[in-house]
Amino acid sequence: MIRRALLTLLIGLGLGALGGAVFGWLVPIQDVSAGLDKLHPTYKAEYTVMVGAAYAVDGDWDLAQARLGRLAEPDPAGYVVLLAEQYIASGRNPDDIRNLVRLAAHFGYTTPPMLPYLPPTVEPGS
Amino acid sequence: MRASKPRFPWIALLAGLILGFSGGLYYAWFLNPVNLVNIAPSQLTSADQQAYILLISEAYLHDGDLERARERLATLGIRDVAQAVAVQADSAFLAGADTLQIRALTTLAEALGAQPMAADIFSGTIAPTPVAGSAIPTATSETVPSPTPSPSPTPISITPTPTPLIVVETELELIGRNVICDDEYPAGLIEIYVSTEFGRGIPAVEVQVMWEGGEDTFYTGLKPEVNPGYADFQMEPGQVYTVTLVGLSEPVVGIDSSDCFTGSGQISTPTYQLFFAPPQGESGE
Repeated sequence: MIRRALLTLLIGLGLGALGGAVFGWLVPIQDVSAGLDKLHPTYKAEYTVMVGAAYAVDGDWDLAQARLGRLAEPDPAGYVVLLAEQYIASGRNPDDIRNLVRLAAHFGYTTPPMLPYLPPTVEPGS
Repeated sequence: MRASKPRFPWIALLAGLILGFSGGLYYAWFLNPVNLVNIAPSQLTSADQQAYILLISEAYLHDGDLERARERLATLGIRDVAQAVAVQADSAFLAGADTLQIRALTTLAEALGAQPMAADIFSGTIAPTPVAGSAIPTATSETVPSPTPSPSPTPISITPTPTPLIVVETELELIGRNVICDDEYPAGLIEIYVSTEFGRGIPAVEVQVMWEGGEDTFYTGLKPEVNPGYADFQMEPGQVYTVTLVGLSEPVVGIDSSDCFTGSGQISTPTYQLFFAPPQGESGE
C-alpha cells in the first residue's frame, strides 16, 4: 500500500513538474521583452539602414556607432559592409544603399561594388 | 469474507502534482526563464522601442517617406502609433533633448496626425536633408552661450502657446548675468538661457517677468535656433523688472531698463543676459 502511494506521489511529481514548467514558460511572470541585440536579422538590417539615414541627417558619428553597438554584433564594421554588399547585390533601394555605404566608408571600408554609391567628397577609408 | 480492494492513493497523487507543479513553475520562472531570440520590434523592451521610434523619425526626416515610416512603426505593434510618437516627442521636448531629435519626433507625429507640444516650433520643417558628402560630422551647438554672443538674427515672432508644464524637478539658480549696451546688439531685451549642468538648453521652462503695473509669462524653447533653453523679453525704457523661473528659481530683481550709453556715445536701452542652471553638485538631467 505504501509502495503504491509512493509510486503515485512520484508520478504526480513528474507530471506536476512538467505541467508547471510548460505553464511557466507559456505564462511568464515577467514582461517578456528583449533588447535590440535579439532582433531578427531582417529587423537588424532595417535598424542599421535607419542608423545610416539618421547619420545622414545629424552627421553624429559617435551616436551612429553607439546605435550600431546596441546590436551587439561582434564586428560592427564588418556587419555594415556585408549588409551594404547584400543590399547592392539584391538591388535594394539606392538611398538605403547610400546610407549603408556612408557608414561603411566611415568605418574605413569601401569595396568596389560600393564605389558608385559613395558621396563625391568621401575619401575611401576616411 | 471478501478482501477489501485497496483504495487508489488520491492524496499522494494530489500532493505530487502540487509539489511538482510548484517546482516546475519555479524552474520556468526563475531558474530557466524564457529567453527570446530573433524577435520582432514589437517584442523590444520599452526603452528600445523608444530608440527604434526615434530612429524611424530621423529616417523620416531624411527621406520624407511617410508610408515607409508607417510600415516601420507597424512592426512595433502599437495600436495608436501617432499618439505614441507624439508622447515621445513631448517627453523629448520637456526633457530638453537634442533639438534634432525633438524635431524628428515632432515632425513625424504631426505627419501622422497628432499634435505634439513642439508643433508650433517645428511645424512644417520636414524636408529630406541628405548630407551626401558630409563624411565629416558637423558639430552641434549645445553649449552654454558665451558671455559675448554675436548678435542674433531678426527676431522670429512665434506666438507662444505652450502647455504650462514644469520640466525640471531640480532648483535652478542664476549663474551668470551680463549687461550689454552696444550699437551692434539688439537693445532693451531680457535674454534668458536655461540649461542643465552639462550646458544643454532646457525648453518649456515657464518664465515670469514682472514690473510696476504689469507682468508677462512666457516659455523657453520657442527660438531653438538660438538655444533650446532660450527665451527673451522686450523691455520698455525706464522700468525695473523682476525675472523668475516659476517654481524653479529665486526672483532676479533690479533689471533696470534706464538709458545707457553705447561705445559710440549713443543713448540706448541695455540688454540683460541671464544664465540659469542647477546649483553646483545638483543634477539637472
